[in-house]
Amino acid sequence: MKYTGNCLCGNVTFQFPYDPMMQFQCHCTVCQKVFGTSLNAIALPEDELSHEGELDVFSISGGSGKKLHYYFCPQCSIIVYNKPDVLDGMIYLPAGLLADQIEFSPTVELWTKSKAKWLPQAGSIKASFEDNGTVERLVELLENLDQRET
Amino acid sequence: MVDISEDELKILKLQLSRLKLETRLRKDLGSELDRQKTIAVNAENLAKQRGDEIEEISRKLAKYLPEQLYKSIFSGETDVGVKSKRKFLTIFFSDIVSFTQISENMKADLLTEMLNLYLTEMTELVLEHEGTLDKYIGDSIMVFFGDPRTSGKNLDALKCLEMAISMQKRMAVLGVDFVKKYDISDPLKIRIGINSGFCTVGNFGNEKRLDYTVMGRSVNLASRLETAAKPSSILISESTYELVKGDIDLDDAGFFELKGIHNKVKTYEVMP
Repeated sequence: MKYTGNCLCGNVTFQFPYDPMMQFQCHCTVCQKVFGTSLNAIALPEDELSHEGELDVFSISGGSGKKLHYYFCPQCSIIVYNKPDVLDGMIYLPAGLLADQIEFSPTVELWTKSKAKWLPQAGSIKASFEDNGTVERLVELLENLDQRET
Repeated sequence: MVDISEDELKILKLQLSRLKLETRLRKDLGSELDRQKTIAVNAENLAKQRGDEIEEISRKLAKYLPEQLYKSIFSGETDVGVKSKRKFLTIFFSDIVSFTQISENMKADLLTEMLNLYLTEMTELVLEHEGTLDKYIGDSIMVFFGDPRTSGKNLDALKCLEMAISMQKRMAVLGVDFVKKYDISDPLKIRIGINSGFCTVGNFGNEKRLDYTVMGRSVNLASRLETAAKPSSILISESTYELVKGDIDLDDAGFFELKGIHNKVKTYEVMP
């Protein structure tokens, strides 16, 4: 497996075999509450992630009106990934959970209209969206599909 | 059965999973576009609804503004601010003869009904002749011609005279109807005064409360002529006479001394 990682207590471990399809930041107010600041995450196909250890789930309604599901370790309460219904088939995994196989470099940022003023702009950002930029992200994900490393 | 290596099988599985993911992402894209379309349609409907509400409010507001002026403001021709200009206008005043006495002997609700009926009938004639209804002052009506739009001095004055004549003709019928309907002793009659001249026209007041009206000596003279007019007649000044003399039959009514006017005023009269 190319990439591995685990929750804080180590009860949950995970792996996935291919490069992430997107590296991004989400500055929405929900992420700021859940993660203490903006979410720095990678996006990958749900089917490519495998994990050991039990996960619990809680769901909220996202900005799109569709559900967002958080999968977390019931022992240490760390969120291992979240799954947005609006991007069915994809999951977001906080970059900090990964072992050191990747140098996080986000290219997309979402919800810049609620971005904290103190947060500097990451040099790697290529596209910024005031809202969730769902259509643009989906188009990019579909384009990336053909160039996926095998 | 086709022989297939483990590597080939792995690639096929991978391709299958890519295709499945692609299908899901395309479905996501479709549903997101649908959602955005719904938002756009809702926004459009809301905008239309707000537009309708504004129109409805404007229609209500229109009742309190001269119709020509209302149209002029809402089509953006006239600015809404404290501004005025000098313009040549024909000004009209009318009032009901002995209205104070009549009103003292009538019940308030009947008086209101009669006055509203009278003002409604007269206002229709104002609009029909394209006059700018300036204001009602009790039973008195003030109208001017030549602003916001003018058909030229002569035609403005002629339209005003024609309106005045049709008002007197209407009153000949309405005044008698009112005797029966409201149990008053004599038929209701009106007096009319008309003058033409330069006036200051525009918004008077302050930014919070503006009155679009006309002011000046020419306006005062029109008002004084109305006071001096005989019941059921139309008394006009020489300046109006000069503008309409070829088109309407007028009688010389002699000179009048009018309150607040220095010189004697030459007048003409129409008895429809």
